[in-house]
Formats: sequence, structure tokens, C-alpha cells
Amino acid sequence: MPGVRSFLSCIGVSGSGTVSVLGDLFGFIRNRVPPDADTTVRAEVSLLQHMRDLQGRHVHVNVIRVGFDLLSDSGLSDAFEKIDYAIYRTRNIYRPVNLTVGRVEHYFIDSADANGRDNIGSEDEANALWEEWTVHNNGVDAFVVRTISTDDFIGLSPVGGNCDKDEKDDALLAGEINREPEGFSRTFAHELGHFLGLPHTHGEDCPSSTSARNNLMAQTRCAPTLRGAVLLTSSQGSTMRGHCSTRSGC
Amino acid sequence: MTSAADAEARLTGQSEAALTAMAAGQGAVTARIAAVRELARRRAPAGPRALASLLAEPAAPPELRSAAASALAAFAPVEAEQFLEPGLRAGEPEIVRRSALALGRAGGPRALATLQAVPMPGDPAARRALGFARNLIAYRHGLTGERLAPVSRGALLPLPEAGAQSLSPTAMTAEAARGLAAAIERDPPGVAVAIDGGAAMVCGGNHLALLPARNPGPLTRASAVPAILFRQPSGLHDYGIVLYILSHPVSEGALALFGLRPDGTLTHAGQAEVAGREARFRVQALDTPHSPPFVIEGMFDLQAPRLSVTRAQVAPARAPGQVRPRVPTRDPR
Repeated sequence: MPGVRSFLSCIGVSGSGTVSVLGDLFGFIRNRVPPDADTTVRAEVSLLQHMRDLQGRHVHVNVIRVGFDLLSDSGLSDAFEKIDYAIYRTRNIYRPVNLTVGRVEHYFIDSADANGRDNIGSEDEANALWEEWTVHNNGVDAFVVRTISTDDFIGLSPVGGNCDKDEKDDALLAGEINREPEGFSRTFAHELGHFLGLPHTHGEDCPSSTSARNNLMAQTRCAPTLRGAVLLTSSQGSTMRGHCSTRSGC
Repeated sequence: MTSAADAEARLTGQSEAALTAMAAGQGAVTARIAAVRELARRRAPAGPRALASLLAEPAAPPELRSAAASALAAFAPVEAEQFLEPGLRAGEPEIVRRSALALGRAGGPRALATLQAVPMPGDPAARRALGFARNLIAYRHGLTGERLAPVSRGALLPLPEAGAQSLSPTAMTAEAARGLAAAIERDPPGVAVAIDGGAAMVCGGNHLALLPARNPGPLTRASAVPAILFRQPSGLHDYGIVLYILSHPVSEGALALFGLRPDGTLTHAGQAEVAGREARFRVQALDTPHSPPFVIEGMFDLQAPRLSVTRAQVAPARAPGQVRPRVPTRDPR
């Protein structure tokens, strides 16, 4: 198997100088494995497993924090931990359908520059956020805001997002950092699932079958548990792997 | 901790008193916000005072105070005016912004005077909201002040000669009408619109509905809000407001049109010619990062009131030279 620097090069990360495997290859902003939301479970990552995963289809993600400068020091530390946990968990959720998160880049927009978009109050404001900001690379722009102050949604994404950053619907709102880690991370994976082409498994009424309610693409209000309702079918995996933003294996 | 949607689901059987207690209690902020919105959705008689207390409580979480301000827009103008005014002077930009936007939707001429008396905030989003609130009240009530500045032709994005896509017109289905009615009840736009007189279109996976104002007023003589554009994005079950269309007369039978997002961002402009009971309109995207080149043309029957769209086209991507989105700052490695 090729070495770490080869994988870094493949996903578009410079391997020159000192490299942090957990920071540069896994994309954890704190350069360490985040703790599991379930304190009885120890979170672990495997370098070998991740390199094998990267030999399959993967999707690069730009995590864009909005308005986090207004958080306290401890709040910011918790926020970083939640973001890392969302990355960690999304990989674990997608692994059964042979898809992983490749490169993760971290960006920020301070509250003073955010034009009020650090507190999203409507679907239109979420759209305005990703119309006003973009990262010009081949990663999916996933915005994480300080607050979502409507209860109409807890995350938002086009179904089958656009890979051309000059077009509409080219990003997603991955959630608000106020939520607890299990819910936030599920929403992160759920919204990225939308972007990769997956619709909900139901309409306005929650599905009756247990399998549909335990699917990642069931809305949170329908999910029996935030930890367990993260299943994906092989057909959904096929859809995600076929999306224009997913890359070939390294 | 539960999600907001989970919290909402638990509220349907709650009494008004229980909701009021929940909103004022010490529970999770998401649950308190859900209670605030449920009070507004029900137009609960105790709602205005309960929400006003939250808005005026400096120790309450800012997002809760903001939600209380937004929720007050659902109540009668006199109550909204009375209780939202302190929010305009809260100092916290987010609360000022939400209070102004709510007052813009709910308020009358007295609220306009209140908004005009408030110093313009330094925060750009709060300043934009305050300005838009003044515009919306003035245009909705046919007042002559607070007119939007003319838009130069050069600011309009022309459609490319090739590649523009037509938006497919669709019938206003019963399901769409129900969705629009629910959206209007949940998030009152401040203008009475005629769902059955609207025009429906599909743009990619998004469903659009351009709805005429039920009582647009004498467009050739006064400012007005003749239409509102709603959208149901792909992946969501709900419609939401995306554009207020404001108009004012500029010459005999000619109107200037302005398309503003619900937060007050000016993104579209155009003109209309009024002849008899009909107005022929054309609206285009402005050179902003918000929309690729886009044009919509149609006819507005002022008496019915009914809108028909004769042409709606959008470019597949932003135009060369168009204002681009900004790039966020990357964390150092």
C-alpha cells in the first residue's frame, strides 16, 4: 500500500514539511481523535482502515464555521470537538456503503463579516449564506452556523447538490453548533447525504417501517434514536458514490 | 437534548399556559424557541405579552429573544407595534434585526414613525433590516416616503444568448396551494396574497409560486407590494418567502419594480407598464452573487387579482464578470 504522503497527495493535501496524520489526513481540526458522544464508548480511528477507505470513492468537504468568534473559549473548544466528531461519525456512517470523507479543510467567517448569517432564521437566509460565500476547490462547502433560530429545520441541503460553484445549490447548511454532538453529527451526515443525491425516506408523515425510520435519511423527528438511525441501503450508497462531487479511489 | 423538530412535535397537545411556562422556563433553548413559535402559530391570546416579556429580558438567550421578536409579527399590528419597539433599542444587532423585520411585516404608519426614529445601527445586517422594514411598511400602505433608489440598467444582468433554461410553468395544484397556505400561516408575509391567482413554476428541483397581492391598491398612483415569490426547495416539504416585489410609479402608467429578499437584500429589479386593468411586467436579476442571470415576464390582472407568467428563464451559472461570492478564511495548518 502507498505511504501516507502518497494519500495526502491524492486528496490534494501538501505532504511537505511536518505532517499531522490526524490533522492533515483525517482532517480533525484539533489534530486528535474526538471523544465519542457516548462516554462509555472509546472513539478510535485506524490509519490502515482510512487508507483502504480512500482507495474507494470519497468526497472532500470544506467545513465553514460562521460566527464562532462569538463563542466563549470553552464553547469554541466544544465546537471544534463536535465538528471533529461529525467528520469521524460521517466516515463511520458512510463506510458500510463504500464511501468516505476524504480531504477536510476548515474555514471560518467571523460574525462581523457574516451579514447576519451566523444566525439562520429561514430557508432563504441559509440560501443567502451559501450564495454569498464559496470555497473554490473540489470539496463540498458545508456551513456550520452558531445558531439556527427557526424550528422549521435543523440543517438544509439541496438534494443532488451542484458541483459547479458558479451555479446555485452548490453548498449545504450542515447544522448549528448549539446542538449536542450526537444530533449535530447525524445532521451533518444527513445533509451531506442530501447533497450527494439522497431524498428523505418519507413525506410529511414519518415512515411506518422500523428500517425506514432507522435510515440516515429519515428526518430527525422520525428517528427512533439519534445514534442508531444512521443506516444506509446499498442503493443509497450507489446514488451517493455516483454524485459528481465524489472522487475516484486513490 | 432534543432537536427543535422533536420539541415541536411534543407541543401540539400542550395548553397555552403550558407553552407560556415552557417559553419562560429554564429548559433547552431549542425547546423554548419551539414553544415561542407554537404560541405564535396558534395566535394565542396570551402570546404577545409572553413574547414581549422574553424580548425585553436582557438575561434571556439572544436567540430566544430574536425568536420572540420574529414570532410577534404573527399578531395584530397594534400588539406587534407595542411590543416590538423595545427590541429595536436592544443594542444586540441580532435582536434589532429580528425586531425590525417583524415590525416591517406587522406594523402600520405608527410603526414606520417608530422605525424612522431609531438611529441606524452600525451592524450592516441590522441596518439593512431596519431600512427594509421602513420600505415594506411604506410600500404596503401606499405611502410616498421611503422610496427605493432607482436601479440603473447597467446593474441588471442580461441573459446569455445561449444556454438559458426555461422555467416550466405548472398548474397550481391543490397540494401546492395547501403548502402555500401553511407557509403563510406559519410565517405571515405581512401582505395578503391570492394563492388561487398565482403562477407556479419549476426550476430544477425547486417549486416556485408567484402570488399577487389580494389588494394591491392603485399601482399607478402609489407605492405598493404587488406580489410575493415563494419557493419550495428540493428536499424540503415547506414553502418559504424568497422575494417581495415592491413597486412605485415613475411616470404615466410606468412602474419601477424591486425584488427584495425577506432580509431586505435587493437582488432583482424591473419595470411594469399599466394599461387598463392589466400590468405587463418584467423583472431581472441584479449583479449580485445571489442569482445567475434571470428574467421573468408576465401579466398582472389588477382587479382579479391574477398573475400569469409568459416567460421565465434562468442562466445555468453566474455570468462572466458577475459579482462573485466571497471566500471564507482558511484555518492555518
